[in-house]
Amino acid sequence: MEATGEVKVFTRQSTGLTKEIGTLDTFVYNVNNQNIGIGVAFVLLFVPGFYAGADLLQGVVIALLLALPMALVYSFFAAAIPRSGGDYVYISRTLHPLLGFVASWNWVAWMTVYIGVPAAYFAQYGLSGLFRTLGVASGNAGLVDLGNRFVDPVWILAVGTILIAFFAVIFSLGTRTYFRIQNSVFVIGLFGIAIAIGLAFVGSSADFAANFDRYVSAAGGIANGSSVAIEPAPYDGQQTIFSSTLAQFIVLFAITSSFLGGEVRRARVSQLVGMPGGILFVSVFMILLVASLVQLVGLPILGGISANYFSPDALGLSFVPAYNELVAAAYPGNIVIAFLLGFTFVFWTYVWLPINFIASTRALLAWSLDGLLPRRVSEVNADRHTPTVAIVIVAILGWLSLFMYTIGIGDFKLNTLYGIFGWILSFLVCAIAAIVFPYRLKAVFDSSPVNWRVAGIPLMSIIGVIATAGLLFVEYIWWADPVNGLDSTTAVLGDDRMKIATVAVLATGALWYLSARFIQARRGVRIERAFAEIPPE
Amino acid sequence: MTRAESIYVVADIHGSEVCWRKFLNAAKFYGVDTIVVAGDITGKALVPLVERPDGRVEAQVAGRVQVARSEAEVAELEARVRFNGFYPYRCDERSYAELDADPEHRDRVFTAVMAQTLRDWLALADQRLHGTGIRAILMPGNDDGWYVDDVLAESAEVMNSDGRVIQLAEFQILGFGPSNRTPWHTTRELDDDEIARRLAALEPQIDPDKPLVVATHVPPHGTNLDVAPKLREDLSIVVDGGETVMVPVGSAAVRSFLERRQPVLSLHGHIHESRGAVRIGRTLAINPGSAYSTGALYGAIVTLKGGKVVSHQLVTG
Repeated sequence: MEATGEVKVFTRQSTGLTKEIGTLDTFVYNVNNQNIGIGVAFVLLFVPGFYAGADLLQGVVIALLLALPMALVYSFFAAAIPRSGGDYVYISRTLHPLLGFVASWNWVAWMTVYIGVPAAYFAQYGLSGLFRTLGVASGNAGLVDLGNRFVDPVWILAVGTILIAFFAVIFSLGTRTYFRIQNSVFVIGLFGIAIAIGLAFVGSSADFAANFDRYVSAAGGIANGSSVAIEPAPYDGQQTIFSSTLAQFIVLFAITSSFLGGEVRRARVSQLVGMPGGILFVSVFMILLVASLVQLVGLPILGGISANYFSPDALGLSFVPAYNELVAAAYPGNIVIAFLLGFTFVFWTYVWLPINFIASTRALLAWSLDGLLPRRVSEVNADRHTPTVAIVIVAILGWLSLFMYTIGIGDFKLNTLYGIFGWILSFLVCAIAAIVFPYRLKAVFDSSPVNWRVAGIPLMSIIGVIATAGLLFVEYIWWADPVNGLDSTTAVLGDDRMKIATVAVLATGALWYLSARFIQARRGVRIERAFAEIPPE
Repeated sequence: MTRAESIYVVADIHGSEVCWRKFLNAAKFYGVDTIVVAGDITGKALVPLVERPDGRVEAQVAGRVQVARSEAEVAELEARVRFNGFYPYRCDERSYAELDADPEHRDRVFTAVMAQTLRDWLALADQRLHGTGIRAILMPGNDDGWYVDDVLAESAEVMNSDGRVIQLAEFQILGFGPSNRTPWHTTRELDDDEIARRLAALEPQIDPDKPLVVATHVPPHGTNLDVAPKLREDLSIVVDGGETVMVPVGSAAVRSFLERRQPVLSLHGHIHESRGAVRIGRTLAINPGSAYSTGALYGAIVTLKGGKVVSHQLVTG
């Protein structure tokens, strides 16, 4: 069969025939979950000093190329199975309910880690830089001192706790308030990025070293801060690939619209543009911001700042400056610029917290409805339509990750990027599901709007193969990267606890599923029936 | 009632043949005694398969115009149309033009196709369920035309519960298909006052000594079984911050009836995205939800014993 001219479908007056959620809405939802500000801050704070010879811009482009096939897998699935639940549903139906649950459990386990971590970022990267840059621009030592306090673990824990509690209350009242706020905040954040790009491009690179010296000195640091500059190493392809972890950390998660729920239909265009389009959009902004900072600051000083991330006392500071402070430093004494850059950057620091909070509560609801968690977890407040029990559970899990990130137990603290290797395993299972989906659920695929074939082979399977290969490579990077890779944790921590934790998350997921199945069976409920396909013939 | 009795309920299959076939097999698959469709059986779209003079057949499927060049390809196309809950309709160019130009003619054709398809479905039900002891209960929902009652009456194995109380050995089931008003002005819509009046009129049929199951297509208002996207006047969905704005759209009269009568179980549909189970006093109220267009049959299995619900489970078959 081939496609040709126009023939109509006639519909009758019936319920549910609504206009679809638009491409723009899907796009915004996905872009919201990609943290341009933190992404660029991390690229600049870690790549120049820890990945000798890495090309910053190439690292972003590599991340983009690796994330695109996976985004296509999720957008194909979202078009073929337009139901809430994301990969929990895709994998459960295509492969096996146990695999679907374990993948979802894995998602939630790591997602809750990234509720606590961004709660910490709010003070650690946001408020600290805002107050210090305001203090320097206004000559107010008290503000500089206040900024320094926000990198103290106890202060980070205190502020993060308030933030998690704040969002728990907001979500208990309903998600609409949050989404209204988030839409505005996103515009503010993007405005800040645009300002930073513009100011960095037009700022004087020739005077930057002198301006930076003045800034560091005014912040209580050494007189010649620019002396930490290091000569960039010659180009190194492997380091460039490893350095892509920092950008991957941002663009791999442009798939949240697959969790958008229910009967609400979305055109395939909405998902196909919304997910990969979101990645492209974010990558362009990241590239522009990184390029503008390289132009303004220069790689030697960026390298020196980055290399001293864990030893800021080399600059005489309590923490090294992120990009917003660097751009502000180029405009000495300009309090308006300092405020705009610092204030708008704050809104990027915590952005994952609420998004992961909502996604986690939705997953808990889905599990509860399927009998994998107690029914009470899926009880929804009739007036506010909010799952109070699920919200409390997620808030507690998020706070635990905040505690482990800031205070820790003994000498063990969570590192920001330790969980990504484990998290990506869920994407990998979904990519594998995409390969077999057109064959295992042939009727669903054939009747879907993405039933394209190339030389008789379903395009979805082809993309699944590409995404699987891409994600295996991604996992190699997240394993072998000497800075952020899971394998490097053995040397850093002195044992294999992060590797064990990664495996334990999967094992506990499987154990939870099997235990729930056993308990429910004793009540006469067979949870394996929840996803079992009834034969139509 | 001492024997455990299991009920499997679905709703809103909207013309999906694969869902209907799964429904008929569900009793054996899940080991239940009674299967129920809580309204909205018929589909929403007619897909003309237009025969061109050169023998090609064209139809719009999944948003694209497809061409079939052989009988096998046409059959494949028809199967894909049915899978989504749409009705394939083979016609020549002249008939297609008439369909396109004359809404009244189109309505007549559409109704005839839906009625015939339902007849075919019921024939299949009679064939599969005969002698099995499985009870199949259907009722039309707000989207089903009035002709559906007459077609259902032709079946030997399927009972229509709309507007009546069906007495079974272990329990009784009160059926009510119409919904409250919707933005689409569908066939079986009533004001809430009228729903309250008609439900009250059914009460004399209720046996006070037997567990009561209420099946109303429309869910009770404000119970999280009735949460649907908020719509503008042009039927576009209101989105706020990338999130669909959801509002309760169920029937206040149904809620009031359930709160007053406190049946052991109430079964609903209508709002596809509001899949769930809630307690309204002593009543367990369930909306199994619907994803008919994907071929997945959303349902719920409920086990009754001793006049109580002993277990329930939402399933995707």
